[in-house]
Amino acid sequence: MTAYHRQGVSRRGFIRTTGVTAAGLGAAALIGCSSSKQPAAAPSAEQRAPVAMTTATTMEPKKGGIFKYAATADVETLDRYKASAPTGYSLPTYFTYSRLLQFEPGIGRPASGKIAGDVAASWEQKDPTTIVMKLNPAAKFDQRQPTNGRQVVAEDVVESWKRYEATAAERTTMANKANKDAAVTAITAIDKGTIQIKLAFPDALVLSQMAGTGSVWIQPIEGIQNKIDLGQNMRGSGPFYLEKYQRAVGYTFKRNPQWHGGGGRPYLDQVDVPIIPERAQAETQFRAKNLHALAVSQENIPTFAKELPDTKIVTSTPSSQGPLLGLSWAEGQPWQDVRVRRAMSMAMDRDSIASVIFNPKRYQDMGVKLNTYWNNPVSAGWGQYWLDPKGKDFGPAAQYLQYNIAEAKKMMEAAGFTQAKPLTSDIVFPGVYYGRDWPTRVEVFQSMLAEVGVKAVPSSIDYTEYIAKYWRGGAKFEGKTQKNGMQFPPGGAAASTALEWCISYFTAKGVSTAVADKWPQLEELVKKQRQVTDFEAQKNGLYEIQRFVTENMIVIPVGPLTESVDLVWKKLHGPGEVQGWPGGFPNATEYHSYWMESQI
Amino acid sequence: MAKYVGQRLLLSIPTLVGLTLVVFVVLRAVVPVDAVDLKFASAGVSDPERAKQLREEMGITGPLPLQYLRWATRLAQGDLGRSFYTSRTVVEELQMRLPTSLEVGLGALLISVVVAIPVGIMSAVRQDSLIDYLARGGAILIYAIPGFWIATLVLVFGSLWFNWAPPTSYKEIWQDPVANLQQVLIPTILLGLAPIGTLVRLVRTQVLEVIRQDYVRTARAKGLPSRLVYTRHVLRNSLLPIVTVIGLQVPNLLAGTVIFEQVFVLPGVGRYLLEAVQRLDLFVLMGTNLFFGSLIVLSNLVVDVSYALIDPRVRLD
Repeated sequence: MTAYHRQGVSRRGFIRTTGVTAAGLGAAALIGCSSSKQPAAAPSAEQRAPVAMTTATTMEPKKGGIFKYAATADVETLDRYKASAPTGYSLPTYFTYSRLLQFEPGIGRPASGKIAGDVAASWEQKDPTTIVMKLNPAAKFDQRQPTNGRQVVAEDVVESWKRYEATAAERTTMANKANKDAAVTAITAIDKGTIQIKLAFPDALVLSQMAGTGSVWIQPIEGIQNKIDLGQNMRGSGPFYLEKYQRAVGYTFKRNPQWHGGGGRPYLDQVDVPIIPERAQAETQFRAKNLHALAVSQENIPTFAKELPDTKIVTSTPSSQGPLLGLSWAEGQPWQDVRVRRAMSMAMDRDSIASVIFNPKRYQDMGVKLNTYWNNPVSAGWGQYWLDPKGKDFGPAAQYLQYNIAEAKKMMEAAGFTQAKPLTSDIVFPGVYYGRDWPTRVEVFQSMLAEVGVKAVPSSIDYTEYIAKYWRGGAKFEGKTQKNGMQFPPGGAAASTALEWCISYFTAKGVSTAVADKWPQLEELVKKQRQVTDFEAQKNGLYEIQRFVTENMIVIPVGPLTESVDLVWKKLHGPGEVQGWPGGFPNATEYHSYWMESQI
Repeated sequence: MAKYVGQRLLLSIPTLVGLTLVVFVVLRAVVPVDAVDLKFASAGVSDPERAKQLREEMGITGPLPLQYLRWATRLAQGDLGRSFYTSRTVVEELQMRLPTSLEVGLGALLISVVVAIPVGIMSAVRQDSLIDYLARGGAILIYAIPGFWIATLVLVFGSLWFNWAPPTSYKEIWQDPVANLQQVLIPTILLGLAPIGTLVRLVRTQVLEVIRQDYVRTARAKGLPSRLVYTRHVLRNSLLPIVTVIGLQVPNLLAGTVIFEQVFVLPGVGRYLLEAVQRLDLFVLMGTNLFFGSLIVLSNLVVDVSYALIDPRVRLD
């Protein structure tokens, strides 16, 4: 991934969320529906996610053109199953390979999380632990040797699954063999064009996990059997094929003329992706039209937009990661008192935080409206699964997210803390690892918390220490310089649904757990959702989780977000018009729908 | 001479071993996590079984001395290890990246010498003139400016004023010399600036010292042209400390390649090293540090040997 700006969140933080996707509608598919059926009662994306975004053009897409954008780092390997992290394989994989399922992009509207087929043409839930999928006969591999343009068959899927469960970075999310809490036990071939997926238990998450970017990317058996080195060559069935790869320099992808996606796509002839780790270099290249998008940092976008009249500012749905203050649940920490937690939340002027970090007024002066969305801590990027704290449906718990200094002070006093006798605690964060504005955010929190009798001491530490003691501390830690500690993570997770995000943060064994073993009731609420297959019921269940977390202020959401913004050259269509799932600008999986009026 | 060189090479071995030990101890004993932890952290997943498997494959299980010994044993067979991140061998990566770094580093050194020596001489010959003040002031200025800052300025103002941007794709010099030069020329010049700053002042000082010597007065009195006086008598006798400092620029230039390769997107060893630091890529760090350390030891040896060539009075044994 390549954006340097992503609402002030670092590229790495963004990469975490673009490994992620979600689908409540996938749950509906578990009740015996094929890809063509969706629950009639499902609210449309427009009803629940009133986020501003660049609207689709009325022009007809044109074929042709070379799109150029930069990656900030090289991948580990071209072989998805030898990489040990999504960043280690994602970019070229997203261009050249296919999955069984995918999330339908939104064209001119936010994506809704609806699942569509990729290599799978249709699927059916035979019983609670069996899913059968028919493969699309139009799905074909690369025309070059040794695949020679042949059809994707069941054996390719089966063997790819075996590689996934053995070595994939994300195997613990889906493969029961790697994690007993993951559902998929086997994928087998019924015939050449049909596969069967067996589950260890009924699981509402499976289809959305299959559609996510962390799922099974289908490799040809010729590669799996080492007739070609997949670490050096790619032979996929995706919308593009890799024509050239120069290590540490960049990639060239060309249109796959026999891609099964239909609609005359991909429109672009070629995508060039140089590797440019340095922001100044990327902005220079953008100015010279050697890059077309995802190059200008958010703080520089207004300046560049004024200087370069042939560019346009585009917006997209907010990111799915919402920064939060994680509290320590170790013995002796002061966060056991709910009054303290609520008071700290009510000391946060979230709209002011957004003004400081995102400066929406600067964009407004240019005619671009950026709205502020409060995470609770689930982020607005999760679309209809996010319960708006400013909306009427949230309930009385919403008061604890409102800025109310008077009430906050009263609560802190009742808990025994005042400005004269403050509660002192570290805020531990990994420097600028998650974004250059991270220290600024911490300073803002520090000043807001000081008003209610919390003396927050910013404690910037190295990322390696942060992940060892705090991110993976199991939510039981002490501060770096003080006994009391809070930590400030960006709120991302390797999640393909809002529910998976909640599993990561709100269960004791969650990778990013913010609760340790202190909230069994919440854990129960979350785990129960995995068995809920009805779309409305699951959505309402997620709303209950959000209300519970806010009522008890188990973590303190401090991540107001605005729409994602980027600056692109006017002739490029796609950014802002094509929406991926979840929030933020789409990744390379959606570039098949990008097009150009003429070469930039 | 051969005996001297042999002794020096033997004596360098403990230095290099110490260097690798320091890197190893810092990464394995001081830093609280390793590359495997970092990888899974960025993936946002927890997979203890796979993590254990990866550590075993990489040879970083067991007591620390044993881990170091494993690496040292492979090193004795010419194997510098593999990257945790890419699984490619360090040797393979160094072979791919070294030409780029050598081109930039040696080019910078050459530029600095070619510019600094004549400017330093002129500054000395025209002592206390406007040329002297400009040369000295300029040298201090370019020495004081941080390399990364000037590199960024060149990029930003180059694009603002001249609509210029360096090429985004890299071509080796033997594939396409013109495209290669378009990409490496600017960073090479910029990398050579700091050594110019150092050398100009040193050359000036040395030349000023030598031109006051009796033999130089004698050479002038004999009627030799100024050009011959300076090249045959003054420069040669000034060279010893200048050669020393040129040799000492090698580590600075190696460090400089890290910055300039990153800013100008060149696929060199410096960038490889920087990425390895960010990823805690143990064997890459040990291998590249060993490589850089060897280069520095070698450059110091070359400097010492060159003394004997420049000044016949110097004996190496």
